[in-house]
Amino acid sequence: MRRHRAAFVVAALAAATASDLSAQTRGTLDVGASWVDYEGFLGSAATFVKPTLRYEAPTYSVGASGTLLVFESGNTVVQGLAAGAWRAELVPGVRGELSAAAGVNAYSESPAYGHGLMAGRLYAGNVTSGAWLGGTAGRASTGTETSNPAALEVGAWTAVGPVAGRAVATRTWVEGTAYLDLVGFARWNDPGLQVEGSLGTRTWSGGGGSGAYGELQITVSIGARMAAVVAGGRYPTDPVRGVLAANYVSAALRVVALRGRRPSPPLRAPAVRPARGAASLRVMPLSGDLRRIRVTTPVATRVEMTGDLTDWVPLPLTQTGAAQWEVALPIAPGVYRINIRLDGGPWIVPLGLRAEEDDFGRRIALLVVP
Amino acid sequence: MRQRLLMAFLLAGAAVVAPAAQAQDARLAARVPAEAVAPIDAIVRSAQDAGLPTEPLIDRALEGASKRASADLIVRAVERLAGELRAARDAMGQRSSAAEITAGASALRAGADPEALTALRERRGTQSLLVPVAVLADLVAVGVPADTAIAAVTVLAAGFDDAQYIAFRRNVERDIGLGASPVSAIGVRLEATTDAFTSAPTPSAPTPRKP
Repeated sequence: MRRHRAAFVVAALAAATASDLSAQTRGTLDVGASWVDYEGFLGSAATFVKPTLRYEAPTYSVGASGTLLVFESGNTVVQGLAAGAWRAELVPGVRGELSAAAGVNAYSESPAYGHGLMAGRLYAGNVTSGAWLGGTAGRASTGTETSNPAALEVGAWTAVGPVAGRAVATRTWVEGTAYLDLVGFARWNDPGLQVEGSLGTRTWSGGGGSGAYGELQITVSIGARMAAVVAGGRYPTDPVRGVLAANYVSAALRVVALRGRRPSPPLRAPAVRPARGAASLRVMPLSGDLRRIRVTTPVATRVEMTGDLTDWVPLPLTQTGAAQWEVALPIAPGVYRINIRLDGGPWIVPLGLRAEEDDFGRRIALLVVP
Repeated sequence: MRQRLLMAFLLAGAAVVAPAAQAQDARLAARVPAEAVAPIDAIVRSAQDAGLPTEPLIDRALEGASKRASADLIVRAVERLAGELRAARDAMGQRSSAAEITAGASALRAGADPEALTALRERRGTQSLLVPVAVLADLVAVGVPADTAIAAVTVLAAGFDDAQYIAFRRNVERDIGLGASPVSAIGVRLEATTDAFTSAPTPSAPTPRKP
């Protein structure tokens, strides 16, 4: 659903910056299989069907999509989304957009999640670069509980050569939960081939989880009306839309059922650097009190740890795999205060551990070894 | 001659006394600002005499030194921790392990009160309090009100093992991540757990399943 919202932003930008383009209708049907590993569940194979319909005009767009996901167990996820957006040039160089979206997300017999959201955005710039500022508010529900989610976002896009990209920071509040997502997107378009990727991190989180995530999708055209779509990665929990964080890989055949008079205009932007400072930490027992500390980070070339376990002397970890760093230490059961450092940067709190303010004006992670 | 002998005895006495005046832990003298060593050493000795774990105090001083904190700030941090360790030990009992006392001190700082630690000890008996107390602190940290977290962790104390506590915390955090308020998340999970208590003498840990 996050992707749908992004699609409308892209559509809005495209239409707003090219007012002479004519309207188009596009309908697709994806049929495929996936492997999904939701947090707290065992991994499972699944099959899915996903119809999408979108109509774009120079000043507005409407669309709808649905997903039926059937797991090995026979349980299902049913999702539906309808959205529309209207935009206009407010003053030269500045465009405004109002959009609305409503959706449902139901897993098996569990109470369904529902949401209705209104958003307003201001765009300044042109087709090659610019920035936007936006706010979202609405209502979400599950079972008998309701909440009033709200979000503020600031973003920028740029385009160079065949590559397009954008970066967005979104602060979201849902009841007692609040978090900040920092995400970069990049897309490379070529006739017959499209590669899209995103990389982000959730931070400054109170109850919204935290950590790094990212997705990659490759679409290869097969003739005029079919395409193969391969995707994979990790997406974060979305408490507004009732989506649980998961790792996944999927493959699908896309049938283009409806096509308008013009293809989607390619966005262009430079590649996006991965966010820095994202690292998770796990402790695994070896034998007796000997335990392996593993730090996973896709962005570092050097990882160090300091804390109660090292007498607060920096201890370099050894790289044992792609994005993986380890050290084995004798660690008795207890609570330990630690920080890690990537590439000689500031000492940070690794993802996955409870953090608190220390006595010296910084933040510390608490590692509990049972 | 007599004066020389007296001087020799005084020097010998000074030599004997001198090591006791030095830092009890060599790491302090080597790493902590000089003016902080004596006050910290006094706190450490006092804790030792009281039967409290001293390694966390040394660690806190080293942490402050590594973060280039001022001597005054380091001493205050160690002093504060010593007080928390003492309160945790008093609440959990004299036979509590160093790890339990350290976890208890962390929970007190997170917002738990000493009565909660006492109640946990009474419910858990001789079982380790390390994980329940750490889970208590974690729940408070993710936004569960302290009294609610205390009530939940205390209710579970009699029937849960460490793995079940960890699974309980993970489930609550996940529900919160899905949008539930901290209070309702812990309420739902607690209700499910207490239902399991009433239907089975030994509740089984929530094991992961396929979606």
